[in-house]
Amino acid sequence: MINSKSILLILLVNVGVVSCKKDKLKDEKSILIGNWEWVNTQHDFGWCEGESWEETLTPESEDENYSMFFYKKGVVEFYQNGNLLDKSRVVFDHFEINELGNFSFVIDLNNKEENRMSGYGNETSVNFGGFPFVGVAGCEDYDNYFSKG
Amino acid sequence: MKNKLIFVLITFISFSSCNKDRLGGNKEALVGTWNWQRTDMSHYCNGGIEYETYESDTANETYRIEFLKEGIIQFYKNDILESEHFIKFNAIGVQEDGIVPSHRQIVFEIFLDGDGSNRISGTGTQKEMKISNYPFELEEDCHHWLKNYFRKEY
Repeated sequence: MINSKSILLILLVNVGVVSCKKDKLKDEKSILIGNWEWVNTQHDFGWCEGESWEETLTPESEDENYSMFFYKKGVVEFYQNGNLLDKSRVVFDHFEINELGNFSFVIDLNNKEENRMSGYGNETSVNFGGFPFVGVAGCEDYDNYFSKG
Repeated sequence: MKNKLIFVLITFISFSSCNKDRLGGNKEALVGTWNWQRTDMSHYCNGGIEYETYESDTANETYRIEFLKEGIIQFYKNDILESEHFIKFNAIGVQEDGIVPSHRQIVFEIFLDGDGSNRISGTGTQKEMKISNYPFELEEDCHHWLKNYFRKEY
């Protein structure tokens, strides 16, 4: 006989499990594991002014370094100049890889859709949307390139 | 009776003059020194369409804006204070997500001294901003657009 306390306990455990969800980086997702160093960012902008401009941002032009570290347990850390900015759980909304090793992914950091980030790459380089630069939708776009360090 | 009237007037003036917005909370991102980098513009002042850039490296003038936490904005030209106003926000939005705090987007419009006819607006990140009308202002019969770029001093 399941009483109300048992139902409450099951619900709480369920909520706890969902809210702390993270996806381990195993099998083909293991390609993400390790340290990724920011190389440069292609910035396309001016669309809201009816223009189209491009610039390349680099660690030298910005006088800043960025990196991210993906752990097998399903955690990613973001660094600015060696200082930890953020640590989040990795929850995949989408991941696919082809026979050439090119992959694409959509991640909801901490399982939150509003923290959605996407990217594509291969074993040595990745284009990551959302870090370190985020654009204003419809007005500009940032392509952030990282290499495996 | 006369003294009471003076007291009421002084109190009223004090309240009016303190009607400024402190730069706390999400507005704190503005606090600090913003140095002019360049001004880009598209204009037809000479007939045909031209793009032009004034750069701080080549211009003989420097400009900076200081946002003070107590709700004051100061405009400097060649390190000399040109004007000072209290800040009254007509609008402000600061992006609250984004992993790098200094890259979060800001958009604002300020009524200088609370005067809606004397305003300044800007958009950008907490590191680099485009200010609409300082130090250079768009001339309706000459410019298509004009942007003044400022970078925050750390």
